[in-house]
Amino acid sequence: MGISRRHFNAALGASIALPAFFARAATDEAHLKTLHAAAQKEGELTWYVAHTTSEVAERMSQRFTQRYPGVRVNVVRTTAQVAYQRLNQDMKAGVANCDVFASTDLGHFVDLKQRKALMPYRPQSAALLDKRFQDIDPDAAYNVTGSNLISMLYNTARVPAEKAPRSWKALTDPAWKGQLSVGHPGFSGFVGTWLVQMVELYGEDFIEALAANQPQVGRSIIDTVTTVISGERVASAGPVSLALMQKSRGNPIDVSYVDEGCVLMVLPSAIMANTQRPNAAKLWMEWAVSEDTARISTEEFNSPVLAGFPPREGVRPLAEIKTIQPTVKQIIEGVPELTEVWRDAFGV
Amino acid sequence: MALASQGPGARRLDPTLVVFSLLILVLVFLVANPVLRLVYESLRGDEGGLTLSNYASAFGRSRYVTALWNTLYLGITATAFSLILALPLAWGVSRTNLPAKGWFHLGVLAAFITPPFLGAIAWVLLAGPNAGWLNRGWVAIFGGDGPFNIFSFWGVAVVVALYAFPLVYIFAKSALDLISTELEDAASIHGAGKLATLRRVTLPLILPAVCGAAILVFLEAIALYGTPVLLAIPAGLNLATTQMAAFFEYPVRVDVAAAYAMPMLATTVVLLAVQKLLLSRKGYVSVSGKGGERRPQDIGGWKWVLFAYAFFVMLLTVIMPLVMLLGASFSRAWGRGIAADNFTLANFRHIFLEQATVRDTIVNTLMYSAAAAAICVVIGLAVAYVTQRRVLPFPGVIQFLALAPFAVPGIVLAVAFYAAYGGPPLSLYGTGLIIVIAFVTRFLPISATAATAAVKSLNPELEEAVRILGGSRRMAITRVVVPLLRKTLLGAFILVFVIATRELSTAVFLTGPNTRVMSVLILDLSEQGSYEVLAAVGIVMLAVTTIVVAVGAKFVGRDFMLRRH
Repeated sequence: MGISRRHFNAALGASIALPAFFARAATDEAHLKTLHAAAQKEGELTWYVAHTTSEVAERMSQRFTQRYPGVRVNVVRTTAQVAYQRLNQDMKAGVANCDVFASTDLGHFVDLKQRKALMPYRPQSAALLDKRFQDIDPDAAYNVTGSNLISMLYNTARVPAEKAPRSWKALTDPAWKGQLSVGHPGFSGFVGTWLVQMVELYGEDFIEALAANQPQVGRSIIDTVTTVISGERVASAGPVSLALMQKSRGNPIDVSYVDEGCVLMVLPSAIMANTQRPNAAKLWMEWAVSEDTARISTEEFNSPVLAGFPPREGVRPLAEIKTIQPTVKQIIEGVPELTEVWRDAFGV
Repeated sequence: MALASQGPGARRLDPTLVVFSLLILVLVFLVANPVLRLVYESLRGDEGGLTLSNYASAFGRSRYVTALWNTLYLGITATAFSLILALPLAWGVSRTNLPAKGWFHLGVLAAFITPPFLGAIAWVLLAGPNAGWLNRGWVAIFGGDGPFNIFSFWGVAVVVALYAFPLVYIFAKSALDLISTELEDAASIHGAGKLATLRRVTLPLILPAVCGAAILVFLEAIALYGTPVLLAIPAGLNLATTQMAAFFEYPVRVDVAAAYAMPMLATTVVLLAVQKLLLSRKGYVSVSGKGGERRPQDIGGWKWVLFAYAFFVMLLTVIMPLVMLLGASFSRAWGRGIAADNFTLANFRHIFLEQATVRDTIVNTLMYSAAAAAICVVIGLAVAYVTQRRVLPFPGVIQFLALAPFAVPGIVLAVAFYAAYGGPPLSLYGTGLIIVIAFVTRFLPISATAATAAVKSLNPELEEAVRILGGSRRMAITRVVVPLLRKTLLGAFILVFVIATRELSTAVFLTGPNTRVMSVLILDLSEQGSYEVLAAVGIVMLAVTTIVVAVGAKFVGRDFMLRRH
């Protein structure tokens, strides 16, 4: 035990020092081999995940095991709030169920880091990320492993492409009154982050003006896609990847990339400090930014976080999309406060 | 058997008493554990010790309090709608010569096995103010704007009622089935008209069953999560469960949520007291030793009025939503509506051939629901017998314990379950057992209510006869009570089974990667926006549940639904 702990600390020190020299370099194969050998002894890891659907999460776990035989992944897929609640229950009970935690809510990571519940680890593969995702936490307590984009979506049967809203201002423009849809920041971390960015751009009055414009408020950001496809409303602020997937199936929806910039969502993962399988967890973190995961991400119509990896046809690479994003601090402070303002304005 | 042959002590110690006491102990453990934990959480301060500050936070904002009032109105409205939908149908099917009554009965069953969340999704497609098919049809015919808006208080209340009314129907009908025609004949011989007979004899006799069912519907309506999330949020209507969900956001305030749940618990207490007041000092015995004939009443031309009404109800609950779901399940892209080039079998192929999860999920759902239903019926019968025949002390408390879980929103109950059973020493999280325990606790009120109404209608003289002739209490129960109530108990089993397959709010929190159930899968799919697959899964789920219920009913007893003609 003592040896492995020392060994682990040394590895940790090295991995924190390395990126300065190895920036942009490919992940060191020897490092992965060592991790894999150690992870095989641990045999498995448990992954609390809210980033993806259950099906995608299962697919990821299978591909990981194909790539690294002898290391099984137990997928516990829930929504972010449930995952976090469950994790807290685990910690209270003193059990280390979860090895890698992947919530969509940045607040969870900031809170866990403050409580020293996360094990800092800077994966070598982090150097392969698009610049916008690097060093989200200076101490590498959590690292970006996925992303999503929010832009304006519109119903192609009801709105001609040239009339589609090209600015976030459409949401507060009376010309669109009663025709738009948004998610609820209290039910969706994505919407919360998006709202913080909107208030950054247009001030807190944005919320009042939005409420006055009577958009249909869905529970999650996904509902905005549904609402537009059904024609219940003609345009919405919603997730780009799902809209493109639905478009590929023939549903009447498309993305309008807004001029101010699409709002970029970062999805971090972190290793729990009390993990009993540190090597398997680290191996997972290394693998989470790789061609394997980039490929799965393209299958889901996402723009991969792996810099330079080509997306599937019909999906723009991240490099070609103008994006904006609030800082972690802005999100942490902004979301609870603005959600209250929202609830007062909308009544729910 | 083992208990009966325990030697000399067994003579004085009634063995059934031991069994009953054990069952009631299980009940106390199952219910008291999470409910007391909830009460404790609501009073617990951050630094330990007791405090009322959680209550101050829970009721300190007008928006929170408004949500409770909204919920109360919704509960009352949905219950009223349910009664309006259910009672004419139950009476028509059970006591009159209503045409096609077998079909209507099956229709109610179909509405019942539809998960409310699935029904709500179908109704969004039907009555969305702009894109709903009903509104589009209206605009095409009459022009102007569509009159229906599902995203409103009335929309929510109607949809809740559409999938809750079968509870009232089933309880009312099973009570009606037991009333012998002689009672009604006696009324008409004494000069009462058909309406007066209905009002003075038939309806009062089924009051206990209707009352119990109405309470269940009310409690289900105020604790529902899926439908409000889908319909009430767009309506700008804050409800207790959506507010409750807000307390579970980061930072999670379980203590405040627990305090917030207390008015719902108090409501249950009040409702039970009201029920007691309503039903006290009257006899509701309709099953006695004498046979009694039951034949349908000829209601003349009214049967076509009733037929039209029943058909209308079927249209709302089953036919139109089912058409929507079928349409979506065979679509490449549901947003394009029904068109030849939009037709595909891919969604069904996907869930049957490509996805192992769906099959596992179906098996899980059936297993957990059946196990929970069996346990519920046993404990429910014990509760009913013990409280009605006053076998054990404190019948009121036992009755309350059996009903209390229903008043706690599933989402809160789930947290209590997780806290109570998830971690060490039991560490049940991720197992099917924790889901079965949760289902048993949550649906005990239903089996208990069903069994209580049944035992109430049973004349104690029947059991007394056994005892007088030297039979034991066990004999009275196994040879008289259970056989007489076999259909009711089987009905209770199917009732709980079906409701368990629809359950979402606790399941969503307690299912692990290998213990997922259908309702959670449907919610997941709706979160992903894949409505084509969701509709296909929904259709498969409805089909499987229907088959299981039909087979079960045929297997255990002849046709549990159509009693006598």
